[in-house]
Amino acid sequence: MPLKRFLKQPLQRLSDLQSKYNIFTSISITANKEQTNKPLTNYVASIKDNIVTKDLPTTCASHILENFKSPYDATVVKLLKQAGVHILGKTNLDEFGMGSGGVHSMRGPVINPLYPHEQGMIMGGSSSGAAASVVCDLVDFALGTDTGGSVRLPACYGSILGFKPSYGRLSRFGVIAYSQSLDTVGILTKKIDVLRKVFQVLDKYDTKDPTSLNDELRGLIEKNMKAKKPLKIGIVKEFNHESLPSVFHELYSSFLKKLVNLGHEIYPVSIPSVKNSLPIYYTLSPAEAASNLSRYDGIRYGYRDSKLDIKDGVLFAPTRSKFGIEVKNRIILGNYNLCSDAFKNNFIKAEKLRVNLIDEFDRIFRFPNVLTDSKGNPEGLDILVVPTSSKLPETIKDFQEQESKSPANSYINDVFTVPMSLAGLPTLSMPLKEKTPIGVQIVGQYGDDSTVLDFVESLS
Amino acid sequence: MFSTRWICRMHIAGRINRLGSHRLASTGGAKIGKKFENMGQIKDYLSEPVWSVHEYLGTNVEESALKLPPVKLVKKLLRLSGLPLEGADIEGIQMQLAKQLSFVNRLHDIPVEDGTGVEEYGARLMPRKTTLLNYKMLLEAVKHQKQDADIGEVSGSWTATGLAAESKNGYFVVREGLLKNRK
Amino acid sequence: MLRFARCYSLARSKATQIQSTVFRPEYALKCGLEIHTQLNTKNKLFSQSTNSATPLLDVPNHHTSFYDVALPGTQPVLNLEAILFAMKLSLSLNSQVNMVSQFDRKHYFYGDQPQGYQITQHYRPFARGGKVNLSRELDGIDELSKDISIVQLQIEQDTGKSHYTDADKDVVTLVDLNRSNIPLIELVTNPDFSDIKQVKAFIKKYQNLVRHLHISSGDLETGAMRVDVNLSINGFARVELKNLPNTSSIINAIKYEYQRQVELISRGETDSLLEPETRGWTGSSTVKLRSKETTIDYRYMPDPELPYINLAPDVISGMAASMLELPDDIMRMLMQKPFQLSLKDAKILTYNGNQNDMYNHEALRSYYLETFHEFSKLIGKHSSAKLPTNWIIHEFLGDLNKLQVPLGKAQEILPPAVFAEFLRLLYTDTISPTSGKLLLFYILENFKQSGCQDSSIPDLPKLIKEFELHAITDVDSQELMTLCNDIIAQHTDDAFIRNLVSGKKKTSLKFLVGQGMRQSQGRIKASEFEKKFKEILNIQW
Repeated sequence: MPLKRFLKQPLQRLSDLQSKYNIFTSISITANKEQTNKPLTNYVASIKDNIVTKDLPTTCASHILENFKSPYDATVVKLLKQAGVHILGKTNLDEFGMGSGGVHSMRGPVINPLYPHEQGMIMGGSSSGAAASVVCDLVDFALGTDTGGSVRLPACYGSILGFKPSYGRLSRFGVIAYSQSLDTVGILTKKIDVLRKVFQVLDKYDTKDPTSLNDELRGLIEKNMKAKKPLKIGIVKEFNHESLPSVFHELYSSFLKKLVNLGHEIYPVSIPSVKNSLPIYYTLSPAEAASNLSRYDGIRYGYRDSKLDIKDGVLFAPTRSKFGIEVKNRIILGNYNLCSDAFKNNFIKAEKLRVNLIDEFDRIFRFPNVLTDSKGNPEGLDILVVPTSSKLPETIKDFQEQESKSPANSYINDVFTVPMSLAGLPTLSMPLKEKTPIGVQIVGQYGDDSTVLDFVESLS
Repeated sequence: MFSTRWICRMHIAGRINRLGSHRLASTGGAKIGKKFENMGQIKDYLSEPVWSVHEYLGTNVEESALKLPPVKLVKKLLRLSGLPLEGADIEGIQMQLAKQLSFVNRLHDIPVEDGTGVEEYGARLMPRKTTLLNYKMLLEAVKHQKQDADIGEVSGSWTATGLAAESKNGYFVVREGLLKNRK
Repeated sequence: MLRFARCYSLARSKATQIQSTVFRPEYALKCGLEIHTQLNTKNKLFSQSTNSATPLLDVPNHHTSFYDVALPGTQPVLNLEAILFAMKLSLSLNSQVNMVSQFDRKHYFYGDQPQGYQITQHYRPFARGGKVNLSRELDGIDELSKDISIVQLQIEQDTGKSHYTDADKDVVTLVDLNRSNIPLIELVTNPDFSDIKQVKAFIKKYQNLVRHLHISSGDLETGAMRVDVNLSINGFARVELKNLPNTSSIINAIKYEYQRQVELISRGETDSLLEPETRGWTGSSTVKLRSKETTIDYRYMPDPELPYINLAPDVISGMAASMLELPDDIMRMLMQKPFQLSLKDAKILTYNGNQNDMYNHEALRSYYLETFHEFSKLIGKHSSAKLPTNWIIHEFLGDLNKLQVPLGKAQEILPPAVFAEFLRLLYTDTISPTSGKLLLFYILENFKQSGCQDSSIPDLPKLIKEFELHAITDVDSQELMTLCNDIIAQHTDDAFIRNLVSGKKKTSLKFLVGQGMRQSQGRIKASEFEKKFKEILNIQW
């Protein structure tokens, strides 16, 4: 059965949009067998191309996985199919999820559909195609992955909702690892009710994923839930940056005013460790990435050099030379961080500082943290409001120029999103104005995803 | 009120407020201030930028001021990374790595808030106190472990070499004998 | 294979010749072992793929899950059976089990290492400390007693297997991942060994231990157990010896390497001994594989997704309560009263010997102990420890092997109580040993001819009567006289008789008695013959 009857856009527009914005890595226009009475019957979704699917190739937008087709579906894909979802295609991304611009793809950069494509504005990454597929109304929702902000930043730049649930809530089985201690499956959509339904379908313990939040702890979280109104909302001192554009301040102020008018209480809060987030992140995530990507040697699957498996005495170098430049950079940095000398100074230090950060978040939230055994601060806050990005989208050219000057320039895009990744907090980026690439993140305590969703729903 | 006075009360004055003298982030405790009474207070609070990312992370350091990692190290890292030495832009990698390191090495100067005996083991987003495996649970769990054909655990349920670009008689193939030339 | 075997034996004979002179106190050997042992859990370590018991017969890459092949998106889930096995071993070695241990990644590229790293335990291993005691009594070492202390025990993944082919110019490695992700325990000892006998004894003992605990086949030949050696002399740098496929290569490699280093030291050429290096064994000599300079930086990293192993205290007590008696304790029990077995016989009942035998040592031991018990009940005292030992361990087992009847089957017709009854007949001289042998063999052969189907208990008195096997207690003096005279006539001459009677060659009497026993099929006691011969020949001594 053709998928078109479920699409909101005619098929012709699909190929038109694809050629303009470079959204998909592969497309399937045959629909599943029609299922009725399923929670997501006839919803159409796109899947980020670092989540494996049986029916479509999974490439991570990398030459190294050219033509790779997984023999199994990721748990999240399986759950969606069971819930009646049609999968339109796999979406473009920064290679293996590494990047914040959506430009590091073997398929070329994704262009932000919020702007005329001639302008060539970045979508933000790494779930760039996921965001674009939602912006263009090609799908009801998209699955992305968020390691340091990869769902939230493109959602912000596309003026849509982007939700990174608590780490461990959504199964990572079948999600191609970039940095497992941070990787989280996220949902991008325009509608909070859709987001909620999709989240409900996916929010399940998976025995195949050793980091999946188990049923016992889920039950404990459930027990800790209390209806709260008004909410105590914190604005974090350390997220006040000189770099925030003035247009942000205007929209932000009126947003906060709305909250005050709704009867919520606003508090200043200081979380000093937030400032350490980027160096922690760029120590841990490349190290894990270097480790995770060492399996790509061409021997068992994926791309393989046509002639050689060893060069200059380096095993698999001919095949592995096909990684993109950004991926190579992170692998090299990651291996530096893992080398015996740096390990103690960098890796272990970063882990300790990450503990500090998690503990600081625990101190300011009212809700208990089931992972750390924090009982919650009775005087604490319910949610935090944090800007999503310090910048507005720029042109692909400018972005690449900045990045070529220093890799850290592109890392700075993550400054508002990484702290919540390090602590695994449920965080939803929502636009402050329709069709405007400016957003704020609503952040809850670990496990308290429903407060975040309830809150955003109450604003719509 | 989240004024300077308020910050003083929190004993973190200067640390986060004056970047010039104290660029290091404090890991001192997180604190919640007094509730804002009106929008005016909120606007004042927001108009007060606290730190500069560029300054903090050293992204504004001139290239000439960077200490380049030695070529030997870069070559070692390439080897460990399984990346070719031939044709590698060693100088480019040196510069790239220098910039990345000037950024991540900030960590060295940050004190760990160690009063409570912080151990790195708590850094993962898994229960810090995992459920203890007791003897009965172990025996029970072992009894209930079973193979899942959906993930290829049943012997012969899929062809493992089917995805490989090259295979021979059911084996994967590495085009190099003995792998003796490995460094 | 044959060529190799010859190499080894040559190397061995050469080394044995120099052994007595080679280990000189002024060149003190310090040696430690690193032993990898494959656990025979039902499934693999981080997937539930089959951990095959017949690796040599398997189709390549047959027992491989998506995880074992390191497909993108797969994740490890720990097989808890490996924890139970590791716990058994740790407790047997008196090691301190860490209540919290963790898995770490060890990185290096290799064709048979699908993830590009091996999951092992580096920062917080499963257990630390512990020891193996070696003794002169049980293990035949020179010292009265010696402890080999253990550094640590860690659980880790095995790699796949590489097969090297060099058909024509096309040199390739064929990779089979059936072995990939099978659980291993790596045991590291301190460098406590100071001679070869200790090394040999340790390996044997450790091998027996893992077999005894049923956690591994312990076979070196199939690679289920792999031993690396580290060795240093007089405080020079540590040399690691790898590629040691069996006990003789381990022993010969140590001897060779010791000799090589002693020569270098005695000539003052110690430059090459200042830096640690890794050497392989070719079958006749050790060759350098890599030095410190080219040592791989393994970049150990805590695995970011496997949960820590967090044990409740009752795991140790629970396991300890269910532990079998350990081999050394069993050996000592068997060698003491009332059994008083020899070392050799005790070993037969304690250790897993030849796999092709018709019995396993555990079943045999319980058969022995039960029969002993029944026998003691019958005769009311323990004075005849030798009878059960000889008849079970030697005669009975010999028959089983000869007839290829498994013990488990034979037990159906000869349960311990029946065998004890059989022993009683021997003990009371109701039948002679010779008759006993005939009877036992007959019973088993008969059973075998029924295809081991006829499991009715043999009626011993009936059989004895039927075959006239009972000892002749009332010997007809005249008959005996005739028999003895016949023997003298057939087997002696004058000189023989002279020497015998004069007492010059007393052993000749034994010969005559032996002939008598033979002709009477043992049914007449030796003492009767002796008396009669003395009487006939008028021997006075």
